[in-house]
Amino acid sequence: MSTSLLDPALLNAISDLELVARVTVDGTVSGLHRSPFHGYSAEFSQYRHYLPGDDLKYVDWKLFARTDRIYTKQYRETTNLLAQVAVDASASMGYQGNGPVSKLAYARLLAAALAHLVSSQGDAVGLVAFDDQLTTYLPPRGGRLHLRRVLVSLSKLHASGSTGCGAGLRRAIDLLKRRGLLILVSDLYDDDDGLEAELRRAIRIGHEVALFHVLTPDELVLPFGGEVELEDLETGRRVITSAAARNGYREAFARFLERWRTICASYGIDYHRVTTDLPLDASLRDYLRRRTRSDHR
Amino acid sequence: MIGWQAPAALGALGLIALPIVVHLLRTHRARRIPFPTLRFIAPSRSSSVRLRPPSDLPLLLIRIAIVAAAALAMAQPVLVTEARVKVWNSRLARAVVIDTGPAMHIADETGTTPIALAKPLASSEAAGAAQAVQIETSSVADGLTRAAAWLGAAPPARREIVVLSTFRAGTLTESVVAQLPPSVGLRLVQVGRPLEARAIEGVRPLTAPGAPSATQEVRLTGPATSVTRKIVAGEFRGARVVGVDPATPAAQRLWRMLATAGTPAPSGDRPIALAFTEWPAGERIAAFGPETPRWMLQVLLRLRSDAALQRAAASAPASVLSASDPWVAIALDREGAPLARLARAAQELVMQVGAPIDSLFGAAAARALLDAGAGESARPDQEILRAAPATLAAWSRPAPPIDREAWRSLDGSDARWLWAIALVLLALEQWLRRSSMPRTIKVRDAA
Repeated sequence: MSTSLLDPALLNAISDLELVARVTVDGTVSGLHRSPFHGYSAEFSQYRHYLPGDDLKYVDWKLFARTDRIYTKQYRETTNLLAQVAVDASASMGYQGNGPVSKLAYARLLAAALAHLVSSQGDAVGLVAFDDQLTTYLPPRGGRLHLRRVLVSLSKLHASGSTGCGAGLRRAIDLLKRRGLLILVSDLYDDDDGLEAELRRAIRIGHEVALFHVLTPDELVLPFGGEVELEDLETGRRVITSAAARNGYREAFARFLERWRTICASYGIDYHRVTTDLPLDASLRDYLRRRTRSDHR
Repeated sequence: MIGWQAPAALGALGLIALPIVVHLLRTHRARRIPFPTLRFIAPSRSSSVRLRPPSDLPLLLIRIAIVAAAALAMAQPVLVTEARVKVWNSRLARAVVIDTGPAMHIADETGTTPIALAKPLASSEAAGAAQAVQIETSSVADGLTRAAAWLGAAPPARREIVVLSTFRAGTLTESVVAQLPPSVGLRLVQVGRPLEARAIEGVRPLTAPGAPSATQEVRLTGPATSVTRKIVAGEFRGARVVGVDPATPAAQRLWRMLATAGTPAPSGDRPIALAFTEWPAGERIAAFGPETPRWMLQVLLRLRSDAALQRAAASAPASVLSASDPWVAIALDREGAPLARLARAAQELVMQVGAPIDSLFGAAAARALLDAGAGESARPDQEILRAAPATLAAWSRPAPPIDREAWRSLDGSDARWLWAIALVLLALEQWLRRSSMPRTIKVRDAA
């Protein structure tokens, strides 16, 4: 377990989520040279590979003629960034196992830190929480008061219901009026195809998508010895399994992780797999560094 | 050696199979652990009850031991060790039988009765034993039976019967002594001084006018008994005769003959009447019933079993009587008619004879009635002849050491130790069971 100041267990013990977010962000961003977030503007920013669904008016045909590759021009908007943080609050997120905090607690800390970071840059941040339906919605807005509302809503989240990422994500995308940044924090225990379709739709619309795949260390290895009866937190279904089935589980779970990594890579989704035993600043710093590097490119 | 006071309870050892079966077919409840998703988990067999080798062998062994200890405890074990046998042999259980028969109350020349000597002696004999009982009885044979029964149920110890008696002749026989268990010792203590001589009144014989009257005196002198008959002149005192004048020669002959033969006279409390003719119509007779005095019924039974009377009836001429109520026939002629019959007339026992007074049957009937009316003449209680000391010594035997089955009469058993072991094992089983319970995995919803 980490002994860092930003240890998840320690942060989770602090009831003031605003303080937690500020501490986390201040300790993380201080090492970065520039802001990792930027909005869309009329000022040319960079080229990016054309993706199906991109508006053809942004295709640089001259470049296509020179390189025989299709690039889309990105512009820096004059308006601020719209960031929508979508948190999966289904029952499976309540699992803690042998980790320091539950997945939902970790997701809450992560979402609070990201919201604080976006808001502190003067951009708009919103919150969507869902299980099998939308439970919380705060439209993206700027300002300290709105940030506080976001943090209060985050602090009230509790794990219940079954995962309905697809439906929740669709509502979150629909409620994002213009192109923006969609940050999904989930364990992705849902219909893979449906969720992939919604993420693909978000990309096509023009949203930038970051996916934080939150897991506990237990879920990676299935550490239970002997014969155990596992009960699904969402459906209540029970299955008796033994240590002999552990290898099969690890292989199936590895395929699951690889699939999502591949999907995200193919759609340009910023995929981050985080486990609840990781210090929060490490998870956040990793994301921000990668985001900053992509901005440079 | 281990003895079992309730060996049938050993069948409960079969219950040992119970924990074995439970361990073999135990309901296996796997640890239940909440988990986020089961989509990557291959289910194994869903059956929760399986036949499997006993997994928790120490727990199984302890449970078997608990059942075995309880079953053995219920069988009431007794551990027969050398030390215990030694302790039991050092104890003595004694039953003191005190003869309270008539001979024990006959005072000697100093005025002392044997029973007065026996009582303190019995107390001192009882005080000298670990366990003792005093049995007072007028029948020594019955006392020996009761003493043997009490000793049979007494706790393990050497057993002895002490009999305090005058041991007059007939008090105890060899067959009674032989019936005592061989594990019981016998000591016969003769109390009181033997009497030199004793005179008792004999049977009062019938007297009749003109017949030599007599009284009898029986003189008991040590081992020899002499009977002295004193001939005295007397008047006729006999039964009331109905229908015949006692002064007639036939009646006179009958009474003289009976008196000369030593026929006992009827006692005043047993009035009898003898009728050789029809019973007077004015004197009412009644049947025998529940209110009939006991002596009358005894006379009736004796007359029916009087062989001489029945032989005389067989050779008698035909009776002049016929069967009618409420008479009860006691002798019949060849035709089946009653030759002699009995009935009650107030407090008097009436015999009607269907033969003449001077006939052989008439005399036999009169003799039989007087004999039966006199009752039992034996007086064994007045006997002063004692059993010889050598005989008593031959019948006596010391209390032998306890036999192999003596533990059976032990009050209590060693079951308490097995119950204690069972309780300790039960506590151990509880501790083992709790310590082997699965660790509770907490799934907290930190949200």
